[in-house]
Amino acid sequence: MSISLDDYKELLENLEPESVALLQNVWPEAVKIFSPRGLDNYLKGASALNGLGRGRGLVDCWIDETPIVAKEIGEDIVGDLATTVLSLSSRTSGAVIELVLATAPTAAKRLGDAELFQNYLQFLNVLIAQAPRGVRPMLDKLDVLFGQLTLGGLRRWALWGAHAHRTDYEEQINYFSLSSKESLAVLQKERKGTLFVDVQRRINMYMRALWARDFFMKPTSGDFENREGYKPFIESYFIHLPDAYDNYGDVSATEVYRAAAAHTAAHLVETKQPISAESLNPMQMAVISVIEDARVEELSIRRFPGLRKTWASLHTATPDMNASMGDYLNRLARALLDPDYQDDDSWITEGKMLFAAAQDQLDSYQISWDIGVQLSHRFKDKQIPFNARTDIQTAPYRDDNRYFWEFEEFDFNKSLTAGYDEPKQLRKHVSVMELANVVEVESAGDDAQEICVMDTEFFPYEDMGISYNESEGKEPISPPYHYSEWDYQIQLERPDWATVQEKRAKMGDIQLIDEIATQYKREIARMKFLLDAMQPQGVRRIRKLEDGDEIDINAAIRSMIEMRMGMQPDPRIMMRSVRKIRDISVMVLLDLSESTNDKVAGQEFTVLDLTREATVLLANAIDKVGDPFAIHGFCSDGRHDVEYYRYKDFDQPYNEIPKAKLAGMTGQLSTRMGSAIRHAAHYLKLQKSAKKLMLVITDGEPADIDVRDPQYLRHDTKKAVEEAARSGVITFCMSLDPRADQYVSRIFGERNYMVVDHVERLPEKLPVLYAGLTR
Amino acid sequence: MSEIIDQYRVTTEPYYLPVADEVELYEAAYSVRMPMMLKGPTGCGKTRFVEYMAWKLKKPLITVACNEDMTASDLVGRYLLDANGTNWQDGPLAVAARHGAICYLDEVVEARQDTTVVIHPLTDNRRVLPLEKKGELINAHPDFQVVISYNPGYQSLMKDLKQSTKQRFGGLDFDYPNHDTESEIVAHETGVSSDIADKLVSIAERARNLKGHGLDEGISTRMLIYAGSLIVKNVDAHAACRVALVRPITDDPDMRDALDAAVSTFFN
Repeated sequence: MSISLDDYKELLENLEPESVALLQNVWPEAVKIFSPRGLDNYLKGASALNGLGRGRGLVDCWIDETPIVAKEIGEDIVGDLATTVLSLSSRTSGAVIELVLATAPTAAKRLGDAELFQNYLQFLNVLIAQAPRGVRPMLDKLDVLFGQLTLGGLRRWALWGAHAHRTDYEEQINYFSLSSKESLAVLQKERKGTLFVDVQRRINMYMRALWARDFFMKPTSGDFENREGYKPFIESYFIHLPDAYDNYGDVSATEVYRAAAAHTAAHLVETKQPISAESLNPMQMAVISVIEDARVEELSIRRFPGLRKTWASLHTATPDMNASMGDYLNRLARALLDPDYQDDDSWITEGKMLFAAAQDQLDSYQISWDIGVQLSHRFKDKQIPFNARTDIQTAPYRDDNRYFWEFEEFDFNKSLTAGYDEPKQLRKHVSVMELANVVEVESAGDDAQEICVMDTEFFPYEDMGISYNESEGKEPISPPYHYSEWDYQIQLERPDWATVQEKRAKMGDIQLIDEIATQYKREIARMKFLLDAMQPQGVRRIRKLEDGDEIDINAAIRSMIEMRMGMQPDPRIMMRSVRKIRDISVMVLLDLSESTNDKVAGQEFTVLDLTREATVLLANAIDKVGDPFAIHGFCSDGRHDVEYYRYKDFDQPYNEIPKAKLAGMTGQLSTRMGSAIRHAAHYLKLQKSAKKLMLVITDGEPADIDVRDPQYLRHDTKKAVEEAARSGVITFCMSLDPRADQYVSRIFGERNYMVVDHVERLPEKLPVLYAGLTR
Repeated sequence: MSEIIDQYRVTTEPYYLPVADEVELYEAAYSVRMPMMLKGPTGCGKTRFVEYMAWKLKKPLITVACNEDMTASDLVGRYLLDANGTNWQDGPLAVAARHGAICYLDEVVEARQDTTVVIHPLTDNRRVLPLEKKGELINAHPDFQVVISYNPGYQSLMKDLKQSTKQRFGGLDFDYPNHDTESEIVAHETGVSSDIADKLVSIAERARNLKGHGLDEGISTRMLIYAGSLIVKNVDAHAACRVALVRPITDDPDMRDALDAAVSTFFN
């Protein structure tokens, strides 16, 4: 039974004549795809879209694209598609809706499942609400995006951008059109396949193990337009490998990486003399390339026979591929590599024979040159034209051989130093005389090539009591440290989101610190006993043991006497030597936010004063016990500026300088705790101690001026604590916020926190806590 | 003398389901008396494997659970006091070397490094154990073999074996078995129906997904067997999982909720 368009006349009445014409064109196809009910939905949809009054383009798009979608994933989806599109109409422009429809077939093809497609429509709905400007550029790139992302990945990528640039429309557009850096970074993270960064370490070790030298590898990003970059290449002494490989048939992506790395390394190792492309035509060069590839591979296989299998599994050319010169090149490449591959073509057999005859002259590229020229001459018999652009080798691991042809300019010295950055600035520690004798370069700035450092102050000759530092010095600026932040809403790390800036702590009056010691004389005296007991005492003998390591000869004799006297002997005649050592590093991380300037309820002093007192007592205690410790502090002013102060470092003695810095401690700005913990953990990780403890002293929950969601920084801090724990750093929080119970246990874990109810008692509590935690 | 060693014989066949070729590899290693190292997460069947192999090879098995306070004397032996003065008491390692047993040092990284080195002369071609306090040199019995186990993920930052110890052993990797094998093991060990065993294994797999994301270690096969044993005793499945699977591995309330929810998605 044939269904005629005329049966649906009433639905078509309002359509523009051009739309009707289009419909008539697609009608024969549509009838094949849709059931009568589906056709009904299809046409009703067109009619409804027409009713929106957003122009003909929309309707035409619907008419054109819907059948393709239905063909891919079934006609049931048509209703959903129509509903989504109609509901979007109140929120976005006709052009965007048109784009949604236009890209629907792409999405359907990539997703291949009605349910996934429904999810995709829902995702569009959400995205239009969150990033209205972003949808259009994203849909423009949909093909690219789906080429690399799963739906989940796309969702996370898009929501990341929507959150990151909620108010900045320009950035939003940049992000969604894949032209901003973050956008590509997040995309890279979400991309499917095996990423180069994930296997780089493994490949590096593999290469190092095989050739006993380093090769420097860089990922090259697939260029979306022409896919260049998906082929490995060697340039400026670096091996460039694609940033992501998918599995190649049965071969895992890691194995493809290994093959590509080994092949490029073979080039680097086996190419010893410069080669000239002079007087060669492109076709000759193509054939020489194939032979040269075979040559370096053969030489490597002689050393590492297993490589043959690694490489051969990636060649897929078969004898029935004979359409272009590229096919023949691939077949030749396979024939030269894989002895199990049968190919009776005379040209390929000749290539094989020539290559086999040259087995003992493979050391020089000259043989590739000779065989290549001869073979390319013989290829003319086949009457197949050569196209330098399309007739290329298809084995995914083979590089484009640009290295080989540029070898003439190759500089061996440079190749060995490639990847090793020369130190840009030399710092010399010098004495007064040396410093006085060096000639200063007036014009040199912070980027000077050589800098002399003297440990003491340097005064000019016409000494006015003012040193050079005082008259001309400026505060050194630390390089920024970037840390990722965890966004619990998108369940994704925001790469390099927060920036930690180390600032130099100002010196204060050291008198203040001594006063604190006087003020707490009683507590210090009370602590003395506890701390003495904690000091490591080296080897100690434990006597009177029933099962020790050695016999305590005195006890044994005593027991023997008792036995001879017919008395009950004491069986505890053994002793054991126990080494008492402490192996713990302690980091004290102070929250220095504005709120620390508040007065403690009912008292004259501020929270900061109290924190300082507590820190001083703690520092005295730790110093007495002898554990390595550091005192750092932080505050923040938005994610771009997390300020970090180092009052005392691990390797620094606890003397006047740290004390003066502690005296000069001030409170300001907000509390971005996660990044500070990450930075502090970075210092702790460098310590060699077996146990690493981080004491975080804070008066409130994590908060910052650019974050409105109170959960966000809590979750991030929790993540930072977990990360620290994974590298062996135990984090303990001492909170001065009486309401802290609600969140602090969630962040630091059930046992790793303490809420100080009576803030005034902090100075005495802190050293006791330290003693308790580290005993 | 033989009574001492007889008590260590494994008389009944322990249940062990081979996952890959580990049984053959171990047999080959034993035939040349190569010391073996079993690596893998806790509760995945390392100890059971050794018991099974001891039974299969018909050799006695002496197991020592290592801990931080263990000293060399605890392994080698010491003088004890009795009515006639002192007498020498062989430690487990000395007994094994003298009588030809498999000596299994469980969680060997827990022992201090100065303790672990006493196994060195036994684990190379010398195969001797010097008892310096007694002034005796034990030449190891031909049947003697050392097996150690350790869990590389666990506190590996702080505790690790010395290279000189590591390189004396052949290594076998253990992991949780695949889904079907593990359900079979759980069903066999506890007597629960295969349907319930299947669900228990699925719960464990969910928890293993959380490893590194709040959990230090996934739910082990051993825990599943505990849970299954409770279910067989007519304990409600929810309660059994709570007691045997969720509560032991985490103190974090969020994680507890998440795992309880995972249990509910399998048992309703």
